[in-house]
This record gives sequence, C-alpha cells and structure tokens, in this order.
Amino acid sequence: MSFAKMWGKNEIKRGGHRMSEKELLDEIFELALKNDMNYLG
Amino acid sequence: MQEKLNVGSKEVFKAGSALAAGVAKRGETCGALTGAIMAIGTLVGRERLEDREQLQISMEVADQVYVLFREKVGHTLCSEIHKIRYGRAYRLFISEESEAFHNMGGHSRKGCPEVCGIAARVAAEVILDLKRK
Repeated sequence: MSFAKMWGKNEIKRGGHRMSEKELLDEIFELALKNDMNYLG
Repeated sequence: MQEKLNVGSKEVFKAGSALAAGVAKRGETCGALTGAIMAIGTLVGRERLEDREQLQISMEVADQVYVLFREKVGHTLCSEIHKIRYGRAYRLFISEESEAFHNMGGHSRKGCPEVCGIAARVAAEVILDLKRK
C-alpha cells in the first residue's frame, strides 16, 4: 500500500480543529518524554 | 506516535517492548531510535519479501530518522548516550547498576525521557515530510 493511501486515515485533527505542525510535534515530544518517565522509570 | 499520528498497532507496540535500554537492557542501539524506525516502517516498510523498491524506500526514510536522531542526541548507542547525559554508562542488565541509574535520576526529564521525546519528534517530522510529498 502506498504511503499516500496509508495516510488517508491519519489526518491530523483534534476535536475537529486542525493542529499546527509545531503544536503536534511539541505534543508528540512531550507525550513520549512523559511516557518514558512514567512507565520505564 | 500511536496516539497522535495513528501510526502502528497493538502488535507493533508489543514487538517493541524489549528494545528499551539498548535492546533488552544491553546498552546497544537506543530503543527510542529503533522504536522510531519501527513506527516509520509501519508506513513505508515492504509488505512482500520480493518488493526491493519498497525496501529501498524504507531504508532511505529510516536513514533520515537515524541521521536526525544522531545529530540531535550525539550518538545512537544507549551506553554512549548515557556517557553524554550522565557522565558514565550504566549496564542496566545488572541489577545494582540499574538501581544506581534510577537513584541518580536516570528517568528525570533531561535523561533518557528527553531522548525518547527527541526520537518521537524526529520520526513525526519525517512522517509529516512524507505526507507533503
């Protein structure tokens, strides 16, 4: 399956509001960081 | 990555469990990096063994993740990342060293957790870049 086809179900939305790329990347950074602190520590 | 970009699956999540701390706590390639490459692989990896074209694409994309991660973290090996962040390597498969690692704050924000954040962010950047193409 092509990446474009895969991406069809991966729209970046939250509560109907399209997030900025920076907001999304910041959230991903923070979530991964906290998951490591909380579940691997 | 799974929560924010809907990338991966329960099976992929399970498969990555023992990558932490440089593969089964052995200090080899950082589990955050291998996890990031697994996430990318769910999008661009080959589905058939004979699909060499898709294999090449997945290698190129994974290399972007590798290079960006190494630039930002300074190394790709868990034990070397320990030296950069903590001044020494902790052999986490040895219980006394694992305890020392936790006691000195190995899982404080500026330690391994930040490396995990960087790996996830790098993978997400590469995924978003793929989306634009």
